[in-house]
Amino acid sequence: MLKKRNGYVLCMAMIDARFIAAAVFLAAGLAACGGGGAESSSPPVTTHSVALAWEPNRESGVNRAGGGYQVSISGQPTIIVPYTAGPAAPTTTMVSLNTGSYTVAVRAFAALDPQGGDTGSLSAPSQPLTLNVP
Amino acid sequence: MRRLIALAVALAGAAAGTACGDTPGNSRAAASDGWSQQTRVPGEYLVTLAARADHKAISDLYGRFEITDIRDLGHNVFLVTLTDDPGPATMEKLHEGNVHIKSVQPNLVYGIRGPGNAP
Amino acid sequence: MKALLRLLATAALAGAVLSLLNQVAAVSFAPTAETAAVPGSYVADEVLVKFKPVFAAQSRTAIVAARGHAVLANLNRPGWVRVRFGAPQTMAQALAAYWNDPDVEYAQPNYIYRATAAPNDTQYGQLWAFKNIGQNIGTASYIPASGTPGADINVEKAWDHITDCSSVVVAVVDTGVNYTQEDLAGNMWNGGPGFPHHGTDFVDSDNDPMDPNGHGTHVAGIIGAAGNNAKGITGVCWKASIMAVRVLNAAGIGTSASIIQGVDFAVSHGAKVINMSLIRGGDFDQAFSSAITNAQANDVAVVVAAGNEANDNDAGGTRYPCNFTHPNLTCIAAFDQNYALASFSNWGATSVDVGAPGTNILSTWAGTNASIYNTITGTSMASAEVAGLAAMLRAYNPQFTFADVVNAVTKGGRAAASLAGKTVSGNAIDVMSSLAFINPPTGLTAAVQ
Repeated sequence: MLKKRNGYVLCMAMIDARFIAAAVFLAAGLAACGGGGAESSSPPVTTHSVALAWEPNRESGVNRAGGGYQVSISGQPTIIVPYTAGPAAPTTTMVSLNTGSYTVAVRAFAALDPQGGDTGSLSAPSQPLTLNVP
Repeated sequence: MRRLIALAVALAGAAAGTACGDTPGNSRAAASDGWSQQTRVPGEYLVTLAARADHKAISDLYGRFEITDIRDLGHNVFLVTLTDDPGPATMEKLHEGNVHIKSVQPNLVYGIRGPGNAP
Repeated sequence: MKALLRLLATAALAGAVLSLLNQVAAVSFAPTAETAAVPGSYVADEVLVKFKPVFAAQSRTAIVAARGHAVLANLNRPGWVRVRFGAPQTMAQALAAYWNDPDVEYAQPNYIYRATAAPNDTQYGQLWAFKNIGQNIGTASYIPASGTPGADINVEKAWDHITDCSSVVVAVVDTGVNYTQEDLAGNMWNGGPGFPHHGTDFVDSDNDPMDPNGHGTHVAGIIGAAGNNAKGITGVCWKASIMAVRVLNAAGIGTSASIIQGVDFAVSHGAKVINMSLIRGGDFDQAFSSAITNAQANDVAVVVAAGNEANDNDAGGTRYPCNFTHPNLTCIAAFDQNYALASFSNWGATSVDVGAPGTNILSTWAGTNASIYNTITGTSMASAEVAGLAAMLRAYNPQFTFADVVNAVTKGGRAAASLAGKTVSGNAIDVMSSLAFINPPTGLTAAVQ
């Protein structure tokens, strides 16, 4: 009888263990879904396209070969927007940015340097812009 | 032109005078006419009319001082020449409140040398 | 049998030779230390390519286009084309691509050659403001008569890039201009049949602004006396368009009335720079101020002298037009040949903007002798140099506004110790640096898509 009882006890222990494990997994799943208690989860990170634009500079050097603009965005590589063809260098660019807050500024450049050579000149930065990407 | 040359000669004397010392007569003039030390052409004023005002308003206001010439300089500015110059302070005071006349000032003297512009 | 063997041997030899030739053609060339071009000595995005004779122009264009490049011109030498390769390729990459192209015989950068900067004007050596080598000015009236090498407006390097300012009309509002002077006659404004004497006269109320004094002619010569004509002097601009507006009489004196008419005339007849080397001490001149406001509304840059009484224009008594606060007006102090503030020069930490050379300045003069010149001193001369610079900037940058000009003149200058605390910028004008100056961009916007 004891054996049977022991076997029953073992069987019941096995059943209990499976039940407890299932409960643990269920609880973990509920917690992950936010329904488990006081813990909060991080908002999802999304990526957005951002159109940047600025007024054209009037220096002839900016608007011909060797000229253009540099766009700096905090935490990002500098973007070069060079003159390619036509009457003026482009004054727009598209960037992809993750959710967050960024500081953006633009500088203009041309080939002519203050010593009269072609090693280039760079303007001071534009007024910075704070960009919030949701 | 002759008036300007005469003024230049007078200013040369005035510049020399002020460099040497004070002149009581000039001080009294300065008290009543702040422009006298700033070189102006006596009897000449620039009168600026309000928009769309007729230059007849100049004669109406200043005719009593024997206007001999009113010349349109453009942009509603007129050079007015008077025989009986009452002085800038009086000219200024008279135009206050006149809706046709925006401003009046002496015809000031400039040159290549300095404040007195003496030759 | 022997013939067959001979034939086979010949064929094998021919094949070996052909194979060898192909291998030679296929060997890669790369820029060596000897062939590497020095940046700054060539056009940044262009190469000159010589194709093998078998390729006609159409084929060359197609080959270049296949690389994403563009043929700018077929040169007047067989097989040579001028190619633009553009970003993001570098010069070394573009050269390597063409050198490794079996259709190409040779490729090189499009090198830049520059004319000798110094003009050949006979008295150029006396123009210390343009090139200061410490020379003694033989006709000097101000001491020191010699100075510090390098203390000049750095204009020679700018002349490598531009000498012709004639697209920009500069009005000299002054005692008139001797428009028959040999160094000015070819650089006067063409006013058409209505203004046959290159301007007008508000002193005598006629259209002949001939200068009986000399001052206005001197100013005009500094701005735009003909350069490199083997005569006399040169101005800041070798070619210019000088409008003579006479508002001061033979004694150098004028009035608010004549001056405002002069300014209005200059504005309404196309001047984009006005120089006024004239001064008055005293209260505000509303009529004159309004005339400058009208100039501002018409995008005209106005350059004026600070005055010659060693006066602090901020605290020691105002001077007009220098003390006007219009954004299109720039007021100029004078340096001596050591770039010290000239002893007579007015200054003002808020009213005077920059400095330029103003002592012992040789320039054109009035008189019946067409080759007459004179050396005089004053902030009038300094103002004229800045007016010449303003014209050069507007000619080099046709889209420039007066604000761009003022920024380039003041912020593009170089620090001068003698002006620290005595002018707005603390700078001496530097023509080359101003030409290379770039304003910061404006109007930056961002739109999240």
